[in-house]
Amino acid sequence: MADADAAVDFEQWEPPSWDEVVRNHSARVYRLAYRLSGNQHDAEDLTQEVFIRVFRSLANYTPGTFEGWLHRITTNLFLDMARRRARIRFEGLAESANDRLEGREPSPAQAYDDRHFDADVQAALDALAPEFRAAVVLCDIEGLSYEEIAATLGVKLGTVRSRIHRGRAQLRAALNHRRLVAERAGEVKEA
Amino acid sequence: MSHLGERLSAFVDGELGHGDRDRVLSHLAKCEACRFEAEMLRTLKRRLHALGAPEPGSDFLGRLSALSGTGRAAPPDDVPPGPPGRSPGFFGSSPPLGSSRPIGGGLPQVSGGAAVRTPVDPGPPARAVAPVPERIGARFRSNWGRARYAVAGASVVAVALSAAFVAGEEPSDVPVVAPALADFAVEHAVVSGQAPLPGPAAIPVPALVPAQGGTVNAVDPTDGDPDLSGAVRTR
Repeated sequence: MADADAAVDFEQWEPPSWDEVVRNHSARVYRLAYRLSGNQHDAEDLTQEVFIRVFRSLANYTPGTFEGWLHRITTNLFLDMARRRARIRFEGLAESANDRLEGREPSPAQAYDDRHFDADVQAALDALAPEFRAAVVLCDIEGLSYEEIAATLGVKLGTVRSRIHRGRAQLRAALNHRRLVAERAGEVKEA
Repeated sequence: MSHLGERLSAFVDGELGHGDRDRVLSHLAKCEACRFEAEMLRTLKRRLHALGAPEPGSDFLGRLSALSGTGRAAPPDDVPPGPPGRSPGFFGSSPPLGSSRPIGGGLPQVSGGAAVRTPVDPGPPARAVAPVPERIGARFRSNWGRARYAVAGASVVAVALSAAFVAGEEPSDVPVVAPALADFAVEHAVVSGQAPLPGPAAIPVPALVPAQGGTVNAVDPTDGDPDLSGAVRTR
């Protein structure tokens, strides 16, 4: 019966073509994936995973709910990935993950020298626990309300508030720390 | 760090109700430290917001568009050319936590997709849970030889069955697991983020672990505790 409803809807409303879906949503998903994962490679993997799921459920595409759904899958896939890596890395098995980690965390001096101011912020974000990072990214980069974040992460409003607050506190500490270390490194270089 | 605590963050985000907001405002009016704190939070927020938007590359977009061609025919975890040493379904073979299951499971009626999804999603939970007994067996009775496999096999079946039970119920078992993992993730971030020598610490571990790696590798490394102690000891 749901199918019948859908069929009626589809008569007035054309479901988007796959190309349209990719064109309209890939940039946003990719940006979120990038800010969460902190590097291009993982961002691409994550985005691709999201779109595989989108593709499977294209039949259920409903305009309006789609964006929230994308946020939710992207964030949850990221958290899954982060948890899995935390375990794998702890067991010392993920040499490839270690490689990537090295690539991802430039030495403080490098980061400071980086032309992109962004690199500092991204590195500080990367240092956050995934749960905190997701909350802060959804709030400050994606501009979601606490309520939307709570729905996206499947946690209570109070949890969102506390994660954002603690995440920002850690972020500030990390940025200050990076700045201090970089300044010290700069002095050494000049001396 | 401030007199207002979390409320200050919520205030900066415009997420306070009227009453709370008035209270925060009147506190700010007489508290220099909190005004400073609020300004710092705003600066941080602006800085985050001003981060550039990285664009997906056109090659990558091509790959996304191509998903429609392969998606129906090939199983979906026929995913991408990742770098060597990384399993292809790294994200795709969904995790034991169920956090991605709501996504898959939450989709009401995926007509064609359901068939495609089945090979991927139900697998991992069973696989993920199974190693626990298997590993314990391996750890303590490695001289058992073949009998070990029988035990492992039996426990896989047992766990798979219990997993089926759990899967049959509401996904309400998720919260039970999640906080522990969240804590763990926090812990990990603390360890890796603030330990001053991530390099030196990271190098010896991969070098040492392969020694016990035969069994470890063969098993999906999803369980925590035994290895946790193992890893700590290695260091």
